[in-house]
Amino acid sequence: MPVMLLFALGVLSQSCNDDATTSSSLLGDWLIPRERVFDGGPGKDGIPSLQSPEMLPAKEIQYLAPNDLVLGIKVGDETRAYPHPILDWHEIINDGIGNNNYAVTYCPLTGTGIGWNREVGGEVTTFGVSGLLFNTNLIPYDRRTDSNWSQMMQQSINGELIGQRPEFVLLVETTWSTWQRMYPNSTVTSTNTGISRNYGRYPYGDYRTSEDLIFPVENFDSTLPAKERVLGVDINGTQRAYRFELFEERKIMLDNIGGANVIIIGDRQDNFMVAFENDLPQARLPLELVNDGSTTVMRDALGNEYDFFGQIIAGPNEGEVLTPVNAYIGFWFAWAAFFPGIELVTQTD
Amino acid sequence: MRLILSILLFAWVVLETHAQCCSGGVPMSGNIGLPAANKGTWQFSLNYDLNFLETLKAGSEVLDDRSRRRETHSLLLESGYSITDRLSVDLFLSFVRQERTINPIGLPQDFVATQGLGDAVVLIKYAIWPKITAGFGMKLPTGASDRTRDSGLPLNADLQPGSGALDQLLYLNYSTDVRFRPSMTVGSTVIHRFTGTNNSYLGSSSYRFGNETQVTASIADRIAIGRLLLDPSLNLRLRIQGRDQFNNIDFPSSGGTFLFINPGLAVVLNTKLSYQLNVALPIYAHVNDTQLSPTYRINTGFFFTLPRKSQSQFIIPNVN
Repeated sequence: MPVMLLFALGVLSQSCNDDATTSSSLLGDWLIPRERVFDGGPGKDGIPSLQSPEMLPAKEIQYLAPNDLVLGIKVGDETRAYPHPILDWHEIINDGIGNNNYAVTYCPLTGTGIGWNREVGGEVTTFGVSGLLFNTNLIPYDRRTDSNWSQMMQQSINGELIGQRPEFVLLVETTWSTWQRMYPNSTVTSTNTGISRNYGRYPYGDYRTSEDLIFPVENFDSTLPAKERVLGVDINGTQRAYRFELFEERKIMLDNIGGANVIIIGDRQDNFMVAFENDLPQARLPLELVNDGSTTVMRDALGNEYDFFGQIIAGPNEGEVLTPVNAYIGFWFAWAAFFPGIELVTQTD
Repeated sequence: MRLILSILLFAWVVLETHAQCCSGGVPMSGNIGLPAANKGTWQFSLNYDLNFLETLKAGSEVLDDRSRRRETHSLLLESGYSITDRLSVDLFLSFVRQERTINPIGLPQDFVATQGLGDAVVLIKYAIWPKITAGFGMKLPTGASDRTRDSGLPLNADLQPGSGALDQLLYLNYSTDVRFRPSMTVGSTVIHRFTGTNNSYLGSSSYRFGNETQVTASIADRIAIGRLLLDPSLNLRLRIQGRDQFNNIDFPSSGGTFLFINPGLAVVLNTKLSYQLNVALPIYAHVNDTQLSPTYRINTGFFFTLPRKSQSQFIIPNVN
């Protein structure tokens, strides 16, 4: 038995230097202050991302409540939904439709869901959860080069690919009830992920509804409730935030952000806000709002009908897609923390 | 009656102030408190403690996921001196190694470890009645709480050797012989820790481990097998930890309620020296949110007594 004590002395004495020992050094340059990069606790891959998880037809999904949020994607005519109750536990889902390989990245602490093309530097990679946070926001890492990326900066911030930006992939965030109604033939991530988690349980207590943050941010703006979901748009260095209260009724809003004309469509009741470049030819204007319970949210002067992915689903130009801008829904405090100069839009006219 | 009143008073103080918890990784509360001894007696213990956490739980539900592991290896040196037959002082020093290992399926392992001098505890105990000892102590922030990775990235509070905070401890022990078997003792120990705040966490933030209460009920005996003297023991230990606080805000996935069964065995090597080994196994655990929960704990080491020259006494080491 004293052997055990000797073993213990050995274990402790071999570690008598005072430095930390780590398998991943995270050395090299960082584009962000390294003293502001916090370890979230679970460690690298302690929150396991998913790779091509099982998807089930929407009508077979039983575990979602009507108000649960989902992140939807559309490639061609195929639609898929990735629910928050899954993403709260995994944060990243590496998936693909046809030759389109994408990662659904979601940070439960900033409420931001952003799609990335997984082809980086000419090669397809997968993303994992580094366990690190900047401004309490997810830092994914790519498994090909081990580079670290800031989700909201949408840029590699450390490692071989430092400075590179992933291609933005449009995800639309809405409620399960809206998604189910609009895309009943879509597929949805199943709870059979191969990883033991209780998907009926939110892992962060009352975080979504409280004003408190878990990790500090550099610029805290209390203009709005911290966790109010806003649509942030970031174009050419100009950022603008849109509240759901601007869209009490379904509405199309035309704006100019950073020199770009933008179409914003929102609906508080159906719980979505999306933004696209307004590069439509004059012949298609004006745009008309559609709110008849169908998938169509907008119609142009030529009779083209658009869904909230900006795709023309009926009309003379069927199949065309509006160009998405860099826009996604996130908690107000997060947008304000990353972009202190963000303009808050208070009126739609 | 006085006994009941004092226990109730202690319980009231503990419950009135109980809110938060946690050890900061250093397994102190389960180890401090040397047994009572006569005036002039020196006591020493040197223990190795391994706290192994691999059981991922959501509330009380065990998740089938063994990819994460936390280990705390500690070398614990405790010395005590009995100033009078009733009054004694204990000093507790620690050297701590914190390890975190992630073994995701099909991916490289991620490993982080820190080590260094841990926090120290000074505990003053007074035998208010023959069978009851009360104590007050301070945990001093002698351990580092600002360890970073080699890249300069900060590490979390639970990966630091020390807590960076000054804590206060209340200690109460009741111990008595069993009438039908004089070599057998039963007892109970309550230790409550009022945690302080580390105000320089990650530079200018604050971190406070939650308060911690541990209640132990124990039974120990002495048996002889030939010329070998053995002290088998069995404890039940309830540990209640509140949530940690980061910048005065509850930190998720911290704190919980744990019940351990703790069998132990001490081998009496001579009148002054014994060797002990005990194991703690969780029989109930409810964690806040989702977190790793203790899988087992091993504590082993030597206990040495140096009585005054005129005395000769056998002391059964505490097995809390």
